[in-house]
Amino acid sequence: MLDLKNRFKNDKLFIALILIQTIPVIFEINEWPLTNYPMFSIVRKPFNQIQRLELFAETDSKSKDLKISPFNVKSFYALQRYINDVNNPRVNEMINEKIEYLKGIGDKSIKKISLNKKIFNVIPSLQNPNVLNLEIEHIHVKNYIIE
Amino acid sequence: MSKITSLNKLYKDKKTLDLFAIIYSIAICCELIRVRSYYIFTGEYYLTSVLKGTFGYSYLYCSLIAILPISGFLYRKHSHIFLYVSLMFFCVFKVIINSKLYPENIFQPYNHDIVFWIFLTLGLRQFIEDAKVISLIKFYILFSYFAGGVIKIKSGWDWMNGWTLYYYIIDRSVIYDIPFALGFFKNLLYAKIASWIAVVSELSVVFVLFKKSLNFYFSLFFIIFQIFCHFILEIHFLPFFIWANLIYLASFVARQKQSVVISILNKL
Repeated sequence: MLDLKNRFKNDKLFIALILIQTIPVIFEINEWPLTNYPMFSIVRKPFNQIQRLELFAETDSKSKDLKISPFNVKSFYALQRYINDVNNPRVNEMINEKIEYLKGIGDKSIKKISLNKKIFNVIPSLQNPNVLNLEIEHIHVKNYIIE
Repeated sequence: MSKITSLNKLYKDKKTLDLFAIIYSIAICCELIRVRSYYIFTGEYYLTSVLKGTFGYSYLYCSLIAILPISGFLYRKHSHIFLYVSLMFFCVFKVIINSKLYPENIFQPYNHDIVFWIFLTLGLRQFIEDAKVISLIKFYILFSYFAGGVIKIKSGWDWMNGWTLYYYIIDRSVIYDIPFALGFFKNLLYAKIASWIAVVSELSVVFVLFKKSLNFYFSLFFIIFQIFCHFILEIHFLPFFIWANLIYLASFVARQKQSVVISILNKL
């Protein structure tokens, strides 16, 4: 049955709610992106190359790579995605922090950490300059051995 | 005559909210079940407050899953139940805000915001009219899409240069295997067109506020848009955010005079 009681028709509450819900959205507009991660909304000018860094941990049994604990899997994975931006000043800080963490209080089963750096070149095709091709230029590997 | 139409409208709003509460709570329940392992692990890692010590985060999470469908069915008579649900949900998603720095969670706070807001507004049904509850929910959806458009053109019109989308696709395709997107958007013209479509559609949601008949097309377009972003561009606004669009479906069903769903709902 339809409830036709005199409801507490509070228009002030309605207006207040509308104002409250605009606050986080306006915050998003002003503060986006909230992290240094290269978000989709950051404008990219034309570029020639893109750099990618990967951090891997090697354990005794290679099949258990990066599967130390559920959180560690996530954190490694996050780091790999985090550092794609070449111009991000936090990249080196992040890598150093992570390596220090793994050397110090990290899992004892980690024997070696390797840092891979790949550089992709973006080359316009000769037939159509609008079409771009991607080539791997070189791979640089740096190893940190934990005793 | 005007009284009859207003009564019909009241009925319609009531049906819409009842139906929406049920299907939305079940949808969110399914989402929480789907991502349970990830949320419980991150929650238990990050949560260092009182909740972890005394109550246990996983218990809170599981009880939320259990309560959601029940509260959806109890909503017709006890609307305040969603206030408690929103409080519980806040406790759960507060954890993800703490872990916000990680990019894999970057979309999650914005997904959780809308779920929390919808539960809160549904819980406040006693104090506001039904039509205004519906308009609050719809306004949040529209406004957040509009904000997405504003963010993109905030720093000028360069976002639509095609390079932004291409950079993003390379960035993602190196990690995930999305060869279709990389192959398709390496033509800058296509990338530009896709960028323009995204921005124009996001900014044009303002017209939906003034013309109600656009509601259906709007919700249909953005469901397709979000599915595309989820599976091809790896932008994960689909899981929680998209279920808010069910309110358009609920209002469409409530408008039907002879509806099977409503007759089942009346028998409950």
